[in-house]
Amino acid sequence: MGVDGFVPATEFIDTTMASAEFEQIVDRYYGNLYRFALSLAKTEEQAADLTQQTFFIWAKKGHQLKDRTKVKSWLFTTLHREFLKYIRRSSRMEIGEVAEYRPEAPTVGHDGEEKSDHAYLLGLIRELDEAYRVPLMMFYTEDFSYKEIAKALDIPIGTVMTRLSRGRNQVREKLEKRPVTRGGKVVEFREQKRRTGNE
Amino acid sequence: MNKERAKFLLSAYRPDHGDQDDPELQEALALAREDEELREWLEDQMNFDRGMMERVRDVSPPAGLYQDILHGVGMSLGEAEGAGVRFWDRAVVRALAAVLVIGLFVGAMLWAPWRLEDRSDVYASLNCRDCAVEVIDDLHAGVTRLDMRTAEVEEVRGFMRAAHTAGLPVGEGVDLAPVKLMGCKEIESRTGTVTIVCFRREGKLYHLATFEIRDGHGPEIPGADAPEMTHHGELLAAMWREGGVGRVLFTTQGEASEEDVERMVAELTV
Repeated sequence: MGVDGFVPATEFIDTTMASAEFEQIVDRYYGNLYRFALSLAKTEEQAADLTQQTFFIWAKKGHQLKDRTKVKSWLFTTLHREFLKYIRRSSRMEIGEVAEYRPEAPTVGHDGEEKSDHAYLLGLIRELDEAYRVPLMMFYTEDFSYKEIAKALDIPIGTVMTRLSRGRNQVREKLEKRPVTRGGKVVEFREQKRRTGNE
Repeated sequence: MNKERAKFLLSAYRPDHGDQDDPELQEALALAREDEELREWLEDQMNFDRGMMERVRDVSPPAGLYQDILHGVGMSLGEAEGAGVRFWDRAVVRALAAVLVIGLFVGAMLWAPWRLEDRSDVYASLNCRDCAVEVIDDLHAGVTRLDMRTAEVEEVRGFMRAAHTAGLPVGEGVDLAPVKLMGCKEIESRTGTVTIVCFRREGKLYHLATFEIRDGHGPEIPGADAPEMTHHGELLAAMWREGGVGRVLFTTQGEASEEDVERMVAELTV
C-alpha cells in the first residue's frame, strides 16, 4: 500500500502482467501517446485523461495481447477508440459525423508571442480534418509505417498514403500562408525547399 | 514503376528508418536515386518530416502524468472502479449506476421463483439485443464498421441468408424495398448469430437486428402488431418475433419517436 492509502498500479497488475513491464511500457509510450491524444482532444486535461484511460485498459487487458511487438499499435488504436467513444457520447454524433470533428482552438502554449514552435505546429495539425490528422500524428509521433497505420485504423493502404500526403500538404500550405510574428520562421526545416511536381 | 507511383509510395517513407523490409518502397527509393527531380522531391519531403517529428516530439507531457498513470491505474483497479475513474464525467458514472440498479431489478424479476417457467427464448433475445446495442453503439462511434456497404436489397437478403443457418426466411420476412439501405453487419452473441441491417427512412437512421429463437416457442416476445418498446441509453428499441425469428429495430432517441418506430415496424413486416 502506498502513502495516504494510494495504491501503486504495480501492486495490482501482478496477476495480469509483470509490474516492471507495465512501468517500462508506460515509460516508453506515455509521452507520444499524450502527444497523439493532444492532437485529438479539446484540452490538455482531456489528452492526459485519454492517455491515462488507455493505460488503465492496458493494465486490465494487455495480458491478452500475445504478440508483444504489437504493444505500440495496441496502445494507439485503443486511445483512438476511446477518443471516438468519448466524442460520440459527449456530442451524440451519428455514423460518419465523427470524421468532421475538430478540436477547438489549440490550448497548448497559449502564451501569445511566446508561443513555442511545437505548440504552434501542433495547433496547425489540430486544424486538419481528423481523417488526415490521425494518420499524420501516428506517423510523426511514433514512426508508424503506412502498413501499421492501415491496420490500426482499419483503412486501405492506399488511403493511408493519400491521407499522409494530403495531410502533409495541408500543413505545409498553412505554414506558407501564415505570417509568423516571432523571430522569423516558426518552423525552419533543414534545407527547406519549395515543393516541386504535383506533390 | 513510374515516377508518380514512386511519389505515391514515398509519401509514406519514414526518414531515417529505411523501411528495408518493404520491397515496393525500396524500388521507389531506387528510382529516386536515379531520378534527380524525384530525389530532390524526396529530400525536401524528408527534411520537412524530420522537422515536423522533432517539433511534435518537443511537446512535453504535463508534469506528473507518468506518476498519475501509475498511481491512478492502481487506484482504479484496486478500489471501486467508479471511485477511481476520473476519466470522463461523473454523469457517465451515475448513468452506469442507474443501469446497474435497473439491471438488478429486471434480473430479479426474471429470476423470481414464480417466473421459472421456460423463458429461454427471452434470455436468448435479451442477450442478442444487448449484443446488438453494443455493436450499434460502436458503429455510431466509428469503432467498428459495417461488414458490407450496399444499397441493394438482394445483397442484404443474401447476406442475411448466409449468416443465419436455421434456414429461416430471415431475409424475406422484412420489406426492405421502401428504405434506403446503408449496409449490414454480422455479429456473434453468446446465444447465436445476429445480423444488423442499417438503413434510413425519411432521413432517420434505423438498425434492424435479427436473431434466431432456438427453441422456437414461448409467448413472451410479442408479435409485430404490438412490439415491445425499450430504451437502451441513447437507443430506442422495438422487439418482436416472427415465428422462429426475433427482431429488434433500433433508432437513436431524438432521431425518431416511439410512434415513428412503431410505424417503421408495421412497414417492415410483411
